[in-house]
Amino acid sequence: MAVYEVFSHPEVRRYKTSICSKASLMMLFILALTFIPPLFVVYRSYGFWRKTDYYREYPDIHFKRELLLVLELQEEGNYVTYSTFQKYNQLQNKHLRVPLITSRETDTNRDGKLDSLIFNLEMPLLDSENVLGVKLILIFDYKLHQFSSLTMEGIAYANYDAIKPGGKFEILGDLRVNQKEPIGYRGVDNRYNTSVIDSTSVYAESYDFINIFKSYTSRNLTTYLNAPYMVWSTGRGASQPFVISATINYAEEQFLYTPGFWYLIKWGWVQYVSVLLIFLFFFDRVKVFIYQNQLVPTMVEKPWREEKMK
Amino acid sequence: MAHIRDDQTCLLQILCIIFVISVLNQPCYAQTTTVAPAPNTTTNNNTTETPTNSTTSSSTQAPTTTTTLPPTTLGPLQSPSRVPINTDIGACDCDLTANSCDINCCCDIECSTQDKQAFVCLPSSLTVDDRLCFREEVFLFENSQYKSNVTSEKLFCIYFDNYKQRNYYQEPDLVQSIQTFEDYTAKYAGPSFQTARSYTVDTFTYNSFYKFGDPIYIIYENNITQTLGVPTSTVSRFCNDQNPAAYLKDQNLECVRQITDLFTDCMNPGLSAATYYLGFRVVKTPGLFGRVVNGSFVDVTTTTTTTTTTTTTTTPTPTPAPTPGNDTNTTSISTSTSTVSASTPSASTTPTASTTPTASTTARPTTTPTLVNPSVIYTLYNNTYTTAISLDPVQLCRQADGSLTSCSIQNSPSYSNATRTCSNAVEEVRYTVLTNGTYGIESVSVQFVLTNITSITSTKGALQKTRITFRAANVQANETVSRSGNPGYVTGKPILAGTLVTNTSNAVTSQNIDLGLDGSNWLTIVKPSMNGECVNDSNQRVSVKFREDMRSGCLLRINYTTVNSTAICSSIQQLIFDILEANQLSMYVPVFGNVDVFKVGDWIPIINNRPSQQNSVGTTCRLVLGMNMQVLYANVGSLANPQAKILGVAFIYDSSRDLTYTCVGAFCQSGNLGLTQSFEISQTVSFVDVSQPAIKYVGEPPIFIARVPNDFFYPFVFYSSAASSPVIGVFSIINLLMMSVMAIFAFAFS
Repeated sequence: MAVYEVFSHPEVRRYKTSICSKASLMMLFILALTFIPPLFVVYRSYGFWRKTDYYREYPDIHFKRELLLVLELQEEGNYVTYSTFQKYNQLQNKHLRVPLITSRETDTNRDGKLDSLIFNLEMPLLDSENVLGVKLILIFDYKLHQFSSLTMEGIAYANYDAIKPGGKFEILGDLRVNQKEPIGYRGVDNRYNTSVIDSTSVYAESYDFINIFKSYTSRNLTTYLNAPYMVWSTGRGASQPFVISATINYAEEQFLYTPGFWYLIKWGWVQYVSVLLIFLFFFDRVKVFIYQNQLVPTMVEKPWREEKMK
Repeated sequence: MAHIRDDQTCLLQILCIIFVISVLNQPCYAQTTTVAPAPNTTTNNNTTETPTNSTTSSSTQAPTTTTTLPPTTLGPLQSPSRVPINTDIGACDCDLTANSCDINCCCDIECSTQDKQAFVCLPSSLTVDDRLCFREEVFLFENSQYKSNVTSEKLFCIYFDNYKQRNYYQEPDLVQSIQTFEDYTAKYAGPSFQTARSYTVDTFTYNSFYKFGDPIYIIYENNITQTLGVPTSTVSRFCNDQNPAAYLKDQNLECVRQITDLFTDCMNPGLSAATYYLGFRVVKTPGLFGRVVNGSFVDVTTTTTTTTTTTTTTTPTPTPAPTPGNDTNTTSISTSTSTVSASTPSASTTPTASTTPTASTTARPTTTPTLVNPSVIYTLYNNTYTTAISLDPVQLCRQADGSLTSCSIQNSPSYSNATRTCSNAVEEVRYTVLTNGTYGIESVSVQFVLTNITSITSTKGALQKTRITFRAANVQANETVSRSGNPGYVTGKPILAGTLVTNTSNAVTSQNIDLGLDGSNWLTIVKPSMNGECVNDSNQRVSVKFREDMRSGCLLRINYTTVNSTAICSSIQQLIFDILEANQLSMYVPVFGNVDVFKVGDWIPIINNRPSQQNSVGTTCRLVLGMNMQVLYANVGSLANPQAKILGVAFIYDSSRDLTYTCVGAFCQSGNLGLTQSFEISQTVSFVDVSQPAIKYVGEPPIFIARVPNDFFYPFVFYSSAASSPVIGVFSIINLLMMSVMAIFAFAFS
């Protein structure tokens, strides 16, 4: 007749001792060896505290309908310019010319956030004027909501210089973010919600490209136009305007941020416990070995009576 | 749409209904309450509202005719049609030509079947993604023009949709009034190209005064108000004359005056001195424009004489507000009680306006004292509160050799056909504005640097500089001493240097430092001339700025015959030393930027390792060709506000090199030995920070055996940027507590 194990359950064997004894000391020592070394293992393998982390967010971008445009003409020192800033236009009265601007922002996937800007500008020019270069600043409103409630003003700068007089300049690109330091994980961040171009100023230095960029690049979070595909088309045709057409896509961005306290604790805990489990398993075996073989003297309390075994 | 393939999963479907209805209904109900704009509800009940075409017709008519007519006959007879509820109304949005078949539009009813066969069908309309459940086996095959497509493979789908509105827009009412329109735009409109709708006009009162950064106003003889222009470059390097001068903002501007044809451009007003100081007067304080209301000059004298003459004669102090910082004038006002003419602070400068008998009898329109006394302003152009720009006693002219000499002013340049030169063109305009607190500008003077533009130099355009400096009126120009720091040197400021002067008078020896007249002969390094050659000229040198490393050099041209002689070699070496040192070897440099010239002890001599021996080896000169000016400095004072102190300045000479005359091919022929070769003389400036750390000697801290790395307790510790170690104090206890809690949790978990 075959014998099989119909049921099994573990029994608890208790080892008892006084507080001041070798067994207590041994237990304290083993506990310390179990819980503290995992901390060092986890820390030494780097990445214990996740001080910075990445997340992705689709920013809320609006073209602010503000721009500054300079068309460099062929004659030395001659240029045609326009901006949506009245004070700048007053400064440039001789070189000022008013273009026709059309712009629209589309939300192709209908998720409530704008996906791209389609911008078109026609600058009327005399037939004697030849455009050799374009400098264009478009100003955007940039908002983040997921972690830090960030609002800032960013620019897209397109610069092109050609050797042949052009008739049309096309820009295809993305509005990207350049981040120098992590953003916060909560709170309102309005540090960069200031005008890139001080439109209230009547002084020429406020509208100098170098001064604009100097203050802009000193910011830790800036936008830039990533447009490797710019097309300069020659041949304008008599009495035709110079056309700038741009399609600027608003891209989902990866942001570096400083996580909050509980995020740090959570990942610290996950790492610590995963290493701790190995130590617990190993030192449990060590403890069983030590106390089972009575390497330190203890009182053994068995869950069954001796006489029953006989 | 998700598929639930068998009927046995009815339990799942019920679950799905409950889930969908509970999840989807709630936000939809919330939408109905929030989306409808508040103003819309009021216009909603008004059924007599007319569509937009009626408003255009009513606007062309006189408003009286519209009011007499009954309101029912005013608008169109039909009421605006409404969109059917919960219906996709754009069934065929590619049908854009009425009564004709649209190419590629298969849903166009005007298209025949033969047409459609030649088409590539456009998607007719977007289907609403309602995520409804359907059984796949119901459809054996699909041959209709509509396509069913599975949009979700997720666990749940909608079994019964009792809330169709969630897939359809609400239809707002037509906007009939400008108020509703503006309510909508205020709530929903983003940025637009429209410039500011309201134009704000700068308003001035008699109490207005200039503040830092305000534009300085000028008034031309025809009473046109403008701002004082200081030409600067904007987009190109060429001059833009529209840039106004900013009050109390010292500026050094430069731009290039474009010259295409010298004869015609010589007449360019930008090149004539008269443009910059004649024909206009500078507004001393914008309180003057208190007399300008709605763009026109208000003559208050005729209206107010009758009303308040008695009050002014009885009250002895009809004076303007005492201007701060002008103590002498305020005392004179309080003593001179009877005459109003002395009431204006600068009445002495323009006596014509205030000594007229009408002025003494004229009352001020306001009883409260103001900064500007309007009773002395008769014209906007010529009054006490404007000033003409005076000429500086010294006017300068640039000579042909580049030096500046004093000369008389020429108001406009003149073109000489013989020499093809535009002479007396403005090269530099230097305005000096004396200011006095809230009173504004006291006086403006101008100094010109005139130059001759030849047809050769004009091809690149003429560089024009404008300098405007502001000074307090009560401080003389020669009393001010410019500092390079107070006390520590400021980065970018020139390093002072002077010579030690020992005076012996009455057997008392005193020493002081002679700093020279201007900064041009302080610590300087060599600057090459236009063709790169060395010039031994103290005016052609570049000053050394604190903490700015520099490198400059120039070319020394020598030929074969010169490098052969020892005597000539040593004279060349002496020339190189003269070029590099420019008499600075015996100079003294102050340790701080504000050291007094009489505290000689705080001036340190420049040390050097100048080699004494120069020798020629064979056919070559062995010469020292370069020098490094080294400045050691250290930050002193508090860590939060470090002050840079110069510890020492040394001239470190390069080791001598053989000046080999290399000749190749034709240059080695005996006839060509007189040809010159160029050797570079270089001069560099370097700054070395030798700041000593804050704590120099401190007892060794006790070593913790359980020392943890810097960021071990990162989330629990505050890090300060200055200190390199984390602030572990009270926090360390918290750390240990937290760690032990962690350990206890882990223990309980095990």
